[in-house]
Amino acid sequence: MYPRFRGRHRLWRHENGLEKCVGCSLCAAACPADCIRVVAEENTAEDRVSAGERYARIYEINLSRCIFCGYCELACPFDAITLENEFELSEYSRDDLIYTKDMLLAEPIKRVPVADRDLYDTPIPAYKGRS
Amino acid sequence: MPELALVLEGADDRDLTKLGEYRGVGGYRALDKARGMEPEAVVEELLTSNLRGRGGAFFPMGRKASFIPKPEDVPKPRYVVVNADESEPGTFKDREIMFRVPHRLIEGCLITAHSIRSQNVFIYIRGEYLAEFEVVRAALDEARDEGLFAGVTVVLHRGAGAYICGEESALLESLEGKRGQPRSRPPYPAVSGLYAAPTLINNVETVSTVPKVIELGGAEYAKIGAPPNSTGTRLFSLSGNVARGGNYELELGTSLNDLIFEIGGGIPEGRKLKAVIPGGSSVPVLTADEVDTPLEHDAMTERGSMLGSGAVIVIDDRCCMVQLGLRVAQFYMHESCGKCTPCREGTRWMVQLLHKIEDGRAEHEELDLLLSVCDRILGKCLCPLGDAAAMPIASYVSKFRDEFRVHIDGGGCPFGGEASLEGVMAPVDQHTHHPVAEVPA
Amino acid sequence: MSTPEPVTVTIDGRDVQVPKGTGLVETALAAGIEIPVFCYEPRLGPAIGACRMCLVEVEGMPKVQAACVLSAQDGMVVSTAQSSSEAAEAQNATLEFILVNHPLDCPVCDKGGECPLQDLTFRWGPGASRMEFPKRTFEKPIPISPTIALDRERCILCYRCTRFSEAVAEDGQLIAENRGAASVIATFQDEPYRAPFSGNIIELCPVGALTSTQYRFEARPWEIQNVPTVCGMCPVGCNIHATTREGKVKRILSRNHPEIDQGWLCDKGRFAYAHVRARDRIADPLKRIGPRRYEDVSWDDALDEVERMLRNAGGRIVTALSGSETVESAYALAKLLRQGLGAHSAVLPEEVEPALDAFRAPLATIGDAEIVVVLGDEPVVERAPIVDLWIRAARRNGAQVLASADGERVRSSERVVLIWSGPGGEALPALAAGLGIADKPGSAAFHLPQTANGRGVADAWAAAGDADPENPEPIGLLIVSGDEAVANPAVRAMAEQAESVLAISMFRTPLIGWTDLVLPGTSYLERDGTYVNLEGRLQRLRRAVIPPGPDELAWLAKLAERFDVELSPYPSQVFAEISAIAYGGLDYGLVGEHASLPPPVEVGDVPKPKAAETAPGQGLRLIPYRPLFSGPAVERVPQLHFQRPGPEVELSPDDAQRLGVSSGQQVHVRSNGTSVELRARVSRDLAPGAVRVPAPHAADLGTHVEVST
Repeated sequence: MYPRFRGRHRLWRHENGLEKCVGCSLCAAACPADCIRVVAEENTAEDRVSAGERYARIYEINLSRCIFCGYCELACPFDAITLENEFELSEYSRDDLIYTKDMLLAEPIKRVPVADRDLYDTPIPAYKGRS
Repeated sequence: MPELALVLEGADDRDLTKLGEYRGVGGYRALDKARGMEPEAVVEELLTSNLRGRGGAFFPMGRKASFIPKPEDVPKPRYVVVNADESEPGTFKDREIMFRVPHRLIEGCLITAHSIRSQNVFIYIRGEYLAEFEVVRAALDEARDEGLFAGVTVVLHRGAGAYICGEESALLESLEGKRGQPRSRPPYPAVSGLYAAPTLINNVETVSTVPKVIELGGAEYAKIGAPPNSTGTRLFSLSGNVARGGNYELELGTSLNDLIFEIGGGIPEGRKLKAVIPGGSSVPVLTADEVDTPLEHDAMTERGSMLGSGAVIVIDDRCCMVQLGLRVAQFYMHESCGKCTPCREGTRWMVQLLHKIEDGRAEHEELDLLLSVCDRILGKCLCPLGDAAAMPIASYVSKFRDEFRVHIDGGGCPFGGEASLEGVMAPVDQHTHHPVAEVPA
Repeated sequence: MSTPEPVTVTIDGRDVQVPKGTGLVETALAAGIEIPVFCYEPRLGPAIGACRMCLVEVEGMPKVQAACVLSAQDGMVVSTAQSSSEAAEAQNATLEFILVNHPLDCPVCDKGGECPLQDLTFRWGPGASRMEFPKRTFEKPIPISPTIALDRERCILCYRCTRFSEAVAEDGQLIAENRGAASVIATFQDEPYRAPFSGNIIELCPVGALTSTQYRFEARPWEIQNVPTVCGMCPVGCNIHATTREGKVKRILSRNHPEIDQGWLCDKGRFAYAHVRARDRIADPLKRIGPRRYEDVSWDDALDEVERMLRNAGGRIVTALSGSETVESAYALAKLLRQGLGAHSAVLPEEVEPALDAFRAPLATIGDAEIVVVLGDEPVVERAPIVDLWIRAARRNGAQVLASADGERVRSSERVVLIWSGPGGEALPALAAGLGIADKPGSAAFHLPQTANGRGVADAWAAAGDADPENPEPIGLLIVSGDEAVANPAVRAMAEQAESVLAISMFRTPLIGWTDLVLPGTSYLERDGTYVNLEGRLQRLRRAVIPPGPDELAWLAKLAERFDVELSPYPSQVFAEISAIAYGGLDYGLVGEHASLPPPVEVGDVPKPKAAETAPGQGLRLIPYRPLFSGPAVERVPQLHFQRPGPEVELSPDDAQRLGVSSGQQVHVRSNGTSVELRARVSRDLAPGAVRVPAPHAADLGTHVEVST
């Protein structure tokens, strides 16, 4: 796969395990297909989920509506969501195509071979460098 | 002979805090004379004398008094307010006036009250002037007991440690019991001042000069000093790295050079003059080359500075101009009232920038950034405090640019800790109780 | 007041004519030019020129000037940022300075997306930041009350909130502390902000410094819909937007009707919407199967049971109405009962005086009055809170607020407004007629009823039939419509005597044990229909969310079929019927987003007031009043409980002095055998001889009490 191929979305965590996503819903605002649903919640002292004041309690992407444009990735101020290279996404029922937050946070099941970035002159994005 | 005692006349020989002594040098005769004149005639004398505000704005007092509307036009009480909230760094003249010739101040208040048909005088005195408060209060009691007030009430009100309350509209707000923050002008105090009534507000020295103006007559007074624009005498508070600091009442037009070297005795320990702040920290600084300037309005304006409050601070070659700039900026940050955005945020940003330059961690672009911040504060604030912060800092940078550059290139202060603000400005540590004093940089 | 003469001002090369003295910001708007502002809000009093956002160049004035403090003079030439680089630079500088210490909170800030700071920065501000130093930080957020959170880092110190607290609500609880860059907004002595209008600062704040804790993180502006409707919590009928997301009401915002509410809301109307999703909300009809046991039944079964109850009552049917029904649903119920069953007895929530229509005027009239006479026993702020704000505005404008209509001053003044707050309002029309209110321009008479649509319900009941009520004894079937009627002790007493009881209500808990059949009711947020407010203004409610059960009109239409009464399930058609009788044939669709008030009618026969029955008694007359923060909705919103009045007794200054009582002191209040300990509060609004106690704390006390320390 070429490195910039836009496949399945992935939500990221910081090194210390806190989720990057703060539930700001800018991805939902940017989405041309209106397929992202975000419901935010306050972080409590005992149960801190994200690094900010709030986290996404519900984060769903309807992959049957998604057009894989990557606007959500561009809109996110925290580099919490990116489009990775996984492309084998077929399901038997439409309900299964609504990806929840846990599904999006998870590692891909099958690693997709990605071509060498340097060959394609893709500058390493800032978020990959420092996190 | 530039030293001429008008405001302080007679104070060297007698204890003029006593009513009897004051009468002995002719005190309260001007009050009788004024009370025998029509109020408009008193204002005419003030206009002819071209007595201009001694607080810093230098606005003609007669003109200000003429703005007060007639009682037929505005049926409200009128008020006289005396601004004794002397807080401009380097200024300590009003203190001496109140301490040594309080009766002259009181006489001035009563004449001024007569001139605008006012029955109420308020003296707003800086809260820190504990001794001066007692002296003025005792003098007021004496004068009142002697029946000199003739129906006028004089209230002596204490401030509570805010430089901004020296700004006239903030003073009025504070006097009314509200937060001491300036008002938008117009309307000006002459139209809507204390309690929304016509108010004439002047500095202590200005009011204390009024008895002399009436005694000599406006035309005679106008011959003294540097007519037509800078008539009469004023007290200059000389301080800093100078042998004989103190208050000197001089004719306007006296050379700054003479004040520092002749009257003030020059710079001790053989040091060299580096810079002079000619009118309190709010005015642009003058370099040692610019010191041969008459202390009067037009000449100072030509030099790009101002007469200001008459506080002449002498700075010798021990002093780091960047440190001085930082100290001055910290003063304005501390004293900013916070009402308008540019001053509130800008003064704090200037302190942060100056810290960085002083510590040697800055880049050259940040010097330009500092100038840009000053430029963005200038002319855009609600009251002159913003300008008073931005103008001097901009003058330090432009007139001592090399020193700033050396800090940046050298990665630190070239004085290396041996610079001294001693005698020039008190250190910030005196204010560590205030939460804003520590600013992370 | 005559209109001042017009002057011509040139703004950015465009000439515009405005009345002399118009503010420069409005003058620019008249010319189609926007001058950005933060601290300028005309409803808060004179402009202060603090934020320096509205800087413009004015020919003849040396520096850039704040447009908000200037007013139009003939021949003024103004250049805004659109045509003056100096002004543009100044506005850019202001935004840069605001952003210097403003935290990068946009993704987590509730204001993001509807934030004037964001919008103005895009339009007039710098594109990049030059500030690399640490910004000033504060502990955040600070809950200044259970409903409002303060974030001091975001605050841009525009002072809108403190000016509201000081100059509009006049509660003086929100203040600014410290000075300069350390200035912060705080509550006086760090007490919680407890006042009936505190929520307005959330809408006033131009950034996310003051936010609603109930709405915290609930939704973003692009995920919501704002439904324009009218508040149904009190008879003022403030115009609101109900913000909904995914079918639930998330918050209430003001929709600013300049004649009614001026953009303000009371905290009850703003925060009590959560009652719609209360835990004991009824979704299905309930039928009683045991003394305290109920079971859910289907709608068909329920309607069968209702039909059975109606027929078995043999015409001995009494209907208790709440005053919160819409005009349409009240008319539908009335038509079914009066025309279908000949049941004409109704317990209306309160007396309504149609004669007052001769003295009606918009509430804004109070603000411009010369004299405001406040009569009646109950505090205005507890009955119709916005009217209290109007009275304060009137006082600030120079009006005299009096407690009695006697005296030459009232008779001879021009703009006189009478306000009757409390029972006994029948005397008001005669009083207004006597003072010639109808002939004096700028004058009016307002009776403050207790319920949101008492007038509309009375109109609806009267429109459905003419016959006199029978007042049957004993009652065969008591129909209790609405939760306020359910909570009414008088209705409850009638229910004890009735053979069967049918309730239409939202909440389950108060009904257990004395009702036989319960049909789920709806809230004003779930209805489409009309309300008539205390001015006599007809206003349109719109459905913001779908109720758990069907709308009243739906099942009333079905029920009416069984009794051969023609009833449409659509509010527009029901309204058409009643409009022809009571509202001059006004079309439902023309009631309008900002409804207008028809002009006053001719002064007709004014009912003679009954002689005031002062119940005889020893001691001080007790006035129990229903507090604003009470009722079934407030009970179900825990965040509002702190606003409920504590156990206190209000005394007049004379009585307090006579008894040696001062504010804050605990006193004993006694009457026929009962004694209650209450905290005294001396109030200048009270005339001597009477004391006021919030009804929940006055439970068993009689009409007259003794007060002692």
